[in-house]
Amino acid sequence: MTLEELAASLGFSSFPPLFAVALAVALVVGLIIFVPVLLRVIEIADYAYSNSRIQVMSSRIIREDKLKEMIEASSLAEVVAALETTEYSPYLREMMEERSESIERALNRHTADAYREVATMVPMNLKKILTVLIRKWDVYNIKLILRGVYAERSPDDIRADLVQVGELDPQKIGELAEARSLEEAISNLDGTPYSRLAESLQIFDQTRNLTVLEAKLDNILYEDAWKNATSQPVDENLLALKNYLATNIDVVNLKFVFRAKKDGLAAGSIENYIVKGGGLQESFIKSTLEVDTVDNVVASLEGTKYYQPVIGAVPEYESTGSILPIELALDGYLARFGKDISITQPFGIGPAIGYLSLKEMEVRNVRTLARGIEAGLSPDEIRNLIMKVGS
Amino acid sequence: MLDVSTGVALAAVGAGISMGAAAIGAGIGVGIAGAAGAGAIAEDPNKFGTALVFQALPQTQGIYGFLGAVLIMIGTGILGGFAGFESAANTMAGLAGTTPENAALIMGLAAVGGGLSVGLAGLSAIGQGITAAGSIGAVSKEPGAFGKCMVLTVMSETFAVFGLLITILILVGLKLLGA
Repeated sequence: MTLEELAASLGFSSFPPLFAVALAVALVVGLIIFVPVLLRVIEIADYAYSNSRIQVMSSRIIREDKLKEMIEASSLAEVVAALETTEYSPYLREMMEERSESIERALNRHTADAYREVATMVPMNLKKILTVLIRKWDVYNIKLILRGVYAERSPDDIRADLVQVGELDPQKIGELAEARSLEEAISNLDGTPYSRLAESLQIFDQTRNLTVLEAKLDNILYEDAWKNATSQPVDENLLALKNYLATNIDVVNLKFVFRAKKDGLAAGSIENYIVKGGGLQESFIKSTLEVDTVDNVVASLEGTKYYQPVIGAVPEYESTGSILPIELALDGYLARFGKDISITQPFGIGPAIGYLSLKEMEVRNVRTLARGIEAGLSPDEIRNLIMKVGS
Repeated sequence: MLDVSTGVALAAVGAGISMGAAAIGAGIGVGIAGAAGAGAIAEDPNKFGTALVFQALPQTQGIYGFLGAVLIMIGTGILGGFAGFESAANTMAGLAGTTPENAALIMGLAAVGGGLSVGLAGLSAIGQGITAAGSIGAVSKEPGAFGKCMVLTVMSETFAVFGLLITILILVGLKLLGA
């Protein structure tokens, strides 16, 4: 059969019209297959630039061997010298004196800049959530001010420790440090996202425990971030960021529960400080507040993803009586969770989450070792305080 | 005069698909790898070398597409215009024992088949570009991973090479080339 005969048998006058129809069908089928692929490719391409930048930024995170060397440092001057070869160098130049607080300020300023940098690279819907998280430095500053005012430190002393990197007006932060009482400091927060802190004053008056005010600040921060994350249409990347945020909220809540149990706070007075959202049900977290000891809180976590990391830290908790090992285990789990997202979602928000997660761990570790060296702790003691990526 | 216009048109379509589809793949692949390269360079200009090597890999599909198109045009004789194609059709008709009109049509369809093979295989450059982008990030973070990342990125190339090979085999098999 010739091509012309084939065309005639299919009802075409000649072969070219048959070929044209076949080509058109092939084109339509091709488009049906190709368009979804192309849309996915465009999505990947959106992150190609930012993820590559973030990978380069990740390569500058202090490596474990360097951190080990820093732990062995005999003075803060040695720590500063080691940090001079890292990306913290420009931030250290403004240090007035070699104190752990000055190093901490430099670290915080750098980290906030890293958050801002990453926020400029991600799509708008994710940017909003990261911008809310930048407010954690406002929370950090407000906590410092509250502790300072409570301890009756002078405004100048308090101001010296503040880190001017959050979203609040630096002048406003400076004014807060002038407060003579906690009530005054909190009333000065009117007009800011933290004005809701006033709701906790009554419980603070009953307990005289700053944990409730600090928990309320975390509560405000993370609930705002969660509200932002849940008010947008979910896509793959937002879902990853939401999962990370949910784990972050769980870790904040669990640390609060452990601290509350250690300080012997009554469940009824503090259950309102549980951050809503997160992976664990609010009712579950509240039920852990009803438990009487830290050991029982650990037992109640069985069946959740937090049980394994926490149970590993229990022997150290039992030998030291401090909940720090448990907090380190939870933070380590969060860092691992962030790192895992960066591996499972390399073409989306994953590398950004992984980077921010490891950056926070790095800052925390450098801060810990600087404080430890300043306090004259031995390298072995400092090593016990260092946070590791959970397994 | 022999009516070879359909065959010529099909041969031109084949050459066009060969270059055009491969260029779409290579362009997107190079674009993605380039964006990743720009990101790495923005943070560290010394990463230019790494970025350039990985960005170059998805370009090869474009070269295969170009090569495929040129071979189709040479094989079908359309570089020599209608006369060139007619001459090739007459030669083929003699070899295949068919009419020159049928031979022209067969040559045209062979060109379309060859063009589709190398052209669509050239879309593998999109995947290669994505791998190259990931590799630029990985090597920027861990320079020691260069060799391994290169192996992973080159994998997609295999399919483009197969595509070109099939085009050549079609042209050689039908005695359009090397006869």
